[in-house]
Amino acid sequence: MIESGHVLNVSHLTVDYGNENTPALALRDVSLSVDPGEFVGLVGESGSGKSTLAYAILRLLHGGRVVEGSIEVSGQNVYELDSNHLRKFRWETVSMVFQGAMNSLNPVLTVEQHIFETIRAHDESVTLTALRSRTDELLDMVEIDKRRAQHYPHQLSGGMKQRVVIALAIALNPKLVIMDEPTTALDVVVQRAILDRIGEIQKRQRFAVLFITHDLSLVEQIAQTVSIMYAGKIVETTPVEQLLTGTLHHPYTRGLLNAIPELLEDNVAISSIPGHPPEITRLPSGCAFHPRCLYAKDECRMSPPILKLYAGSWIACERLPELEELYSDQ
Amino acid sequence: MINNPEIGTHYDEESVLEVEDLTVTFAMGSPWRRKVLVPVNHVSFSLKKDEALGLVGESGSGKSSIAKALTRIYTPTSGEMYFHGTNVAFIRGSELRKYRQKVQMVFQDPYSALNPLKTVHQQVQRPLRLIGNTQYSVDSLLEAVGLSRDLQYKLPHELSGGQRQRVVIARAMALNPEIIVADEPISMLDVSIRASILSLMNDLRRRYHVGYLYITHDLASARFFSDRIMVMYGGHLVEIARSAELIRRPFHPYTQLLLAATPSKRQQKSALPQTGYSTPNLWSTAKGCPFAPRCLYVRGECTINRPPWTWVSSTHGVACFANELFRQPGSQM
Repeated sequence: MIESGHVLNVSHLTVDYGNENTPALALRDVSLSVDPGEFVGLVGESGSGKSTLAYAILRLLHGGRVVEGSIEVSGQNVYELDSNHLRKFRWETVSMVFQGAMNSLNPVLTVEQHIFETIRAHDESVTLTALRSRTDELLDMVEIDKRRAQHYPHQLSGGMKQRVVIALAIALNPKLVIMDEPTTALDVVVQRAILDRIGEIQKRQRFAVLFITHDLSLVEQIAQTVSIMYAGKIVETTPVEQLLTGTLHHPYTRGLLNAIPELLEDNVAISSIPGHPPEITRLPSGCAFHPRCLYAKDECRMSPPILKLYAGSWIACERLPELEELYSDQ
Repeated sequence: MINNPEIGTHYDEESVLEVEDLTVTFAMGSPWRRKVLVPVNHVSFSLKKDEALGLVGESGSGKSSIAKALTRIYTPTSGEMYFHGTNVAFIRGSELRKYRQKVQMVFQDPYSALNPLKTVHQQVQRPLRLIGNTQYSVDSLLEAVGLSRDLQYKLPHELSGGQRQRVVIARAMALNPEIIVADEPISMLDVSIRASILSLMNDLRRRYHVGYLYITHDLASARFFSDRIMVMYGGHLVEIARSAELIRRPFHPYTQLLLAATPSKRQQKSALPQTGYSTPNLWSTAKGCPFAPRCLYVRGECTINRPPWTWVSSTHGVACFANELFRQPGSQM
């Protein structure tokens, strides 16, 4: 089936974890779309709502309610699926690599059994021969020796377990794979090897990826489009080239970029953003970033800014037209 | 058989701490099938006054074991640690208590390093009282770490991660230490506030002349914070150099791999050397260089003997047999 348009379309999504008296808005009016085969990076600090967005897409929110907005995957509203279709939708259409994925393997099942179970859960008629050949194919894709198929998770290194989890996520050829901090617990070299692997498989298999991370420097390496989240809102969506070379960014993005030490720069100076991220039960008025923003004006405290297209990037900032001038004054 | 760098002789500046041949081992397995794990394997280095020395390595490289040996949470199996000329590797009792005042530790997780039932004031005041430090007060310490006085009667859960790490640092500073061993002090914090903790540590270094052993897995932050960087792999010290030098001219194949894997905007993304994913063998029975199974320059002797330590320049040392990597004409400084 060929669909036109986006594989994922989140529009005006608001998710509340609180009760009637104290709302706790983990996501506020979030809109995001992913094209088929696109690699989107979603960057935010802890508590910014990036994992909540992933769970909302898979309808896995625990204790959270979607109070507004909709999520469509391949044109189908996720929250209108009946339980049977929902079960199929998960993994056949959208799969996920969870945070701390290394612990998401069952310790008493072998690698092979994990893959068999995943495929059988969606297609009972599949033959053992077909399962075996698919397992070989998948392990080959993630560069794991076929002999490892008989091994249990405790016999594998952290990086290998992570690659098994990625193999499981792509086992049913989903259209979209959500990866929530897939390399956070891994060593730098392993992390880089896995990112390279993900990039290659993604190009070959043409699925879309929503890659969630707190590390801006990771998505710079691998994504095509990057969205930055702050306090439950997307504050900027920009092509990755713009992130690497452009200067016009949301003040928060700019702060993040300045907060990362650059390995090869001789005159290394970094600065942090003053203050700390707000709690979702006590969000500042207007733009949630205004208490930490160097450029905040009165109007920033009034109403939340909306994303506007400016020089190739979508930026949610009241002072957007003046930003260029404000930055150059420094 | 073991070649050790005589680091002490390479510096004219006064070293506060000189570590020689430090080895930490853990006995594993049952008594009749004893296996010995060696997370720190004959490591030598020195820390100068006010210096920030970076220690970079992956998990299992022995970097945290070094931290715990330096703060004498662990007692080394063998080797010497000279603190102002006195070997502190095996001291006990009141001597050890005095040493621990001078070498403090900042842990990775500020959420579990603080007592959840005690206020900020209590936690910072306790070390002050214990040693009768009248030079500092809780107020002056909080001011030094950039915390407002209003926070002093708060409990840890009321603070953000960055504020908690500042309390941990204030508590360490209360003992007037000469060295702070900081084990991944920013890796659990939000990206936007990491820089402020590093600059606070830098600021304390200048104001109070405290030296750091800064332990991290992130080469970029090590370069930013440290004067020198040492790289560990599988319990061995593989390379040490001034920070900029190490990044510009890494000699050890593992350092080169680490550099290639570290994300950088400035660097054209180059292909990662295909070195396999094996983890180093830390058992006491392991021979030769721990990186040999993954090394692109491996030769026969690498799997048999411990690589010799070579000082390529007075400040840049490396443990490797493949001396063509650093003995090429022109590579001499």
